[in-house]
Amino acid sequence: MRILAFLGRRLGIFALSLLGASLLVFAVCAALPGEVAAIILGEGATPDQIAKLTAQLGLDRPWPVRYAEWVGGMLRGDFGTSYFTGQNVLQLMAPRIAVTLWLVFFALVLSVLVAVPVGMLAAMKRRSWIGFVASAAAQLGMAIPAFWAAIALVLVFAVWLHQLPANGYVPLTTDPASWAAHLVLPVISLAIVQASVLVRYVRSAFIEVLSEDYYRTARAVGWRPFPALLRHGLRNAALSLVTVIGLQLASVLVGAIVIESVFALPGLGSQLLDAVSQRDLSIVQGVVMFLAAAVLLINFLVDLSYAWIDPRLRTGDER
Amino acid sequence: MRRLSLWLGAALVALVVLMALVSLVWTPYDPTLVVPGQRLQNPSAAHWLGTDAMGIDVFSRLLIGAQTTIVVGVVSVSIAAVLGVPLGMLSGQAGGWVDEVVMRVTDIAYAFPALLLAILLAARFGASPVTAMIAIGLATIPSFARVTRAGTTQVMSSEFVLAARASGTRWPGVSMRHVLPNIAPLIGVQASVTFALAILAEAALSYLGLSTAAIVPTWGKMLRDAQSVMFSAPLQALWPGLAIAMAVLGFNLLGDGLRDLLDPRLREVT
Amino acid sequence: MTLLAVRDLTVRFGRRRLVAVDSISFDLGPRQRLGIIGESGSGKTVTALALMGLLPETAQVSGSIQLAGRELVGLPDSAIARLRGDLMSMVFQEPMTALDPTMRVGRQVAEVLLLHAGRSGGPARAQVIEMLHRVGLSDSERVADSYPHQLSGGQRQRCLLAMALINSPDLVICDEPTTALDVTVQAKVLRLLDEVLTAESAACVFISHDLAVVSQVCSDVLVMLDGRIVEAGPVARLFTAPEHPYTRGLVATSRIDEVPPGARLPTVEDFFPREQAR
Repeated sequence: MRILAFLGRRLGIFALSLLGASLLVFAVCAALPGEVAAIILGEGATPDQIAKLTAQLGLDRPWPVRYAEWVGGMLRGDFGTSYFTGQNVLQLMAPRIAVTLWLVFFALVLSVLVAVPVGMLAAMKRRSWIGFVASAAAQLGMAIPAFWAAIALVLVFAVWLHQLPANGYVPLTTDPASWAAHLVLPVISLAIVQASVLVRYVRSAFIEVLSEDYYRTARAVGWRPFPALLRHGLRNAALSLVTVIGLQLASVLVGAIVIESVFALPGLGSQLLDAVSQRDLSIVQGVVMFLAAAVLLINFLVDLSYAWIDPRLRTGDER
Repeated sequence: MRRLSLWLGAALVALVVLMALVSLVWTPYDPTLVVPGQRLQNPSAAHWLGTDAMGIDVFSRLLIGAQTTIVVGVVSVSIAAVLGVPLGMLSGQAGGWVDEVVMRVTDIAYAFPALLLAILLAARFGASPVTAMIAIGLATIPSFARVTRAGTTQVMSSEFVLAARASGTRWPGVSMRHVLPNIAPLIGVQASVTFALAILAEAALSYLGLSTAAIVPTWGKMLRDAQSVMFSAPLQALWPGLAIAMAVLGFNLLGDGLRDLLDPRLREVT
Repeated sequence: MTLLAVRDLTVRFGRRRLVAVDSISFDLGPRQRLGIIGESGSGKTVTALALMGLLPETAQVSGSIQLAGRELVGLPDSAIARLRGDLMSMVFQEPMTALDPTMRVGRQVAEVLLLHAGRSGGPARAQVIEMLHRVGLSDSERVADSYPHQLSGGQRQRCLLAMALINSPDLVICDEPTTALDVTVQAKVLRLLDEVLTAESAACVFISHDLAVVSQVCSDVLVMLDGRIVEAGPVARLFTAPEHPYTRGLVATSRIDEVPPGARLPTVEDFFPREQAR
């Protein structure tokens, strides 16, 4: 029963978050319809022309109607059409989703793979110079803008060493080797910052584990420190880290927008930025809502993973 | 050693502030003066950090850029604090359904990143430092509200507040006289960390061309300009990047140092 | 023949080298039970952790600890870790938190077997169930498949006892194993401990602040105060003829049931004024 209540509550929060995010996006992009027409017509448009186009686009109807129409459309998979080109927004996004997905996925995986061992080491050796170096490196990594790291990596590996492409993208299906080569630098530059932030969380989570009685028990039955942490610490630390990684996802995603711009990757981020510079609000509205929904969905899934990690939630009865 | 982060952080922050202050009264050259004959010069006695692709003195631009950094940080943090702190205090003092509603709303808002909000606002209102500052400020309200709420509930359950309430002090009095002074250090830590976040977000936005009005030089904009000449003049990308990293590191360390100072119990953990 | 020989064991902490245990020496024979008694901060738990090699990095240990003829002081952790859970084991004070909350209890016990005896799978499981049964858990199958939060404090303490005993160690160190339990459960666990130690023919160092508890399990007692041993001897003699004033205080406070109603309860300070001693 406990787990059902937990899931129900999480589902409710997920639905409310979606509602909140969609209202926000709608309020910014579409609540004042006059502006949309003014942007499309450009400077020098007369109020008459603006009014006419507004009516033509159906934007003169009350906002709740337009909001309901927009949300209803998205639920059917229709993210609207571009005001300028009349293209379907979802079709515009479709080929780009994979690019962003690969970038975000690999960056997140890489940052976890780096941050967990480094954070554990920083926790175990926190009194020695090794721990100090690990913490200092994390502080530095947090301070470096991802796009600066990207520029530096391009300089070293593309310009000077000629080992990797400086920008661009090749689909996986076209040429897997080239696909991977084009993703290496973007993924690394995105992961540096994320890993640094994570290291700090991993470190404090494991410092907590080190002071737990069950860690001492594990040591007392003969585990060495590192295996004891892996065996009995990882799962316990994961309880707090999973939330952090979920929240990190949002920042990886916005980080990806910037990184796509540095490397000229044809992902959702560069599409969003193009739409912003053309002020094509319907594309902006669609892409931002898609990104926000993705973040919220992942956070919801992260919440669900608690039930899998923590037996106290799964089995219910608490003593 | 223990106070290392506090002092190092304070020193770096002081350096950034000093750069901004100096640039108010003096820069070696006019940071907006385009001199086509002096493009991409190497560092020299005349131009300490060289000149950029437009022939502008890099050091002068760097100094002026500190102004934008400080202004964006101060304004965004102020917006977040002015709205987030009262919200958190209300939540922590009222409790019950008010608390529940405020916390759920901040939970939801927490998942909406500052940069995404800034991009959204830039699309609608046009790119400018003002929309950037407002977006960063609004997006960081939830973290201020959370920290304030946590501090407030702790203060509210302490003996001296119970005594004050028992002797008839009404809640505005309790808020002003007891809660606010006690959570002020916590808010200071949060402000410092948020400041660092604002610097990074602003740098990213002006790198993307979504913050800067054409004239005002910012460090992010300098990096954007540097990228187009990175093959011929890689040093161009070094200075603004270092400046951003230094400022962010400074505010992060300052926040960490303050937290250690305030709460020795947390020293090990955070 | 002695199992455990401790000579001039001294433990200092931190840069200021605060002395927690000050040059203590004692011997323990096979199957012998030794109680170490003292108030918090007297150095008894530090002594236990020093025997196990589980002191934090900031501790500096000097002197000698010989277990079955092997010197433990100065041995690298990798070597001592091989002995822990095998030749010597430890039962801690807090059964509520000493088990990993995310792992089934049976697996946690089986892990100790795997770690030292290299045994896993079906045979290990059978041995775990049998061990849980021996420490008085009648439905040991169900307990083995439970998570810690599904068990009571007494059950968890028995599980920890099972973990400590499953490799038939020569020495079991118990650090206030019953302090966190209810009084009725406490008596049961003590009786069980007595039986199981006898059955496994293990020696025991039993740490407590409570003389009455120690007397139920141990034959001999050390009294520690401020890191030193102030008195040592058979439990019976300590009760009848305590020499040190501090011990006299301990004995008096452990017999509060003999105080006539209405009279003031005795305190250790009545016998041993601390201000004067410090």
